Amino acid sequence: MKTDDKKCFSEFEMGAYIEGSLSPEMKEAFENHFASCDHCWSEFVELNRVIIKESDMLAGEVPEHLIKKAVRMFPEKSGLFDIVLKLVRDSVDVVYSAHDITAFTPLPVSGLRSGKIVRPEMIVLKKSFKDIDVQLDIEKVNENICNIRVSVDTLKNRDLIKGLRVELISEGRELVSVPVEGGETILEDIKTGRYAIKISRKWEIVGQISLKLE
Amino acid sequence: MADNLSDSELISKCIFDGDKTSWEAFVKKYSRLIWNSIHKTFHAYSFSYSREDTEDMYNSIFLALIERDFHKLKQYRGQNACSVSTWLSIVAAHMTIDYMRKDKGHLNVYAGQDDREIWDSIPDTKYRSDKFVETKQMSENLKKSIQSLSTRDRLIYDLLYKKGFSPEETAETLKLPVSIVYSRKHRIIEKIKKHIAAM
Repeated sequence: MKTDDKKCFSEFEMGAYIEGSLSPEMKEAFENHFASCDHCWSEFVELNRVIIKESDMLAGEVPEHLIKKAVRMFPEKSGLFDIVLKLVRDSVDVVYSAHDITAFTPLPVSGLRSGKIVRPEMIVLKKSFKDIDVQLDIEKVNENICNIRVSVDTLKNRDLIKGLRVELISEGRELVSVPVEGGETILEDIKTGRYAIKISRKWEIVGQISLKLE
Repeated sequence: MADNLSDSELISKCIFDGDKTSWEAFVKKYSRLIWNSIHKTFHAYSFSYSREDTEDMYNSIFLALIERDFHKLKQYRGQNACSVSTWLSIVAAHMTIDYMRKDKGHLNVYAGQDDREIWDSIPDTKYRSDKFVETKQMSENLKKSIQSLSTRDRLIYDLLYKKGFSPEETAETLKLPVSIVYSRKHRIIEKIKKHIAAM
């Protein structure tokens, strides 16, 4: 079989094939890829051999002490948000911020015509990951809604910010998934709630910030 | 209450709310699946394992899901993906395979069939009698014949003759009706015969 530079399949896509939930077109795309990529093909055949189905739960029950141990593994202090913000009358307040997040309010600026000092109703958050730095500019629209600008930068190779996607997840649902064109994207009309902003390359998460807006 | 949540909601509550009740529900829901995946993978590789091996694997899989700030669990996405149970079974299988590789050095992978069976199923080719003499030429010709097959037939060929799968296992792997595999099997042999005869 010849090698092919078409992209290989993820665990999730392989899983969907094994479940038989792919469309005929996707199935054909898989077969074409398998015929040219020995790696995916042997991985797929192997997985088929070991994947568990309802009918082959033959190993009996799990010992109770193991279940209890797994339950106890849960990290007691986790689940805190990276940042908790409150949208108040004339600003965005930080309720809680994890130690690796830098949060600041941009300096007040003077209005162009009035000359009056205006404090921007926004907050800027920064967090660094292995390959990228992420900045969130959170601008209050009203007390229930804000806009979030997500900017991605890197001090390393600029290629690292190519092909990135930003996803906005809330309660396990993907609300938005957009490519980061030119290093930034704006998420508009975000209501108060609990969110995760994920930045990923292909299937790999390269940065993630969990955020609660009150 | 955690019992009524969808899988995505359950995972989300673990990751973002640090909700231990949801984690407990998750562990209870998927323990049996993970336990069985470990056993099945050990069996599939004829690996001799003890009860401790299985218990170690079970612990490491749950730990891998939550360690480093839920690194593994965060990779699961509800949309455009397979179900949580299929994904967890894949995760458990991968981790068990890694364990066998690391711990015991080698794995009992497929012996492979070296295309032998297909030669037995082609009784009237001129190669059959002197099969040990012209092995190299034969395998060259066979390779060419296989390349002339359609994509799907090549995969069916690989499973039936290289990996020694039964038609039923082949159908299950490729999510095809068994009847198709039987009819393709017949056609594949005919095609290869013709191709070789024309060489």
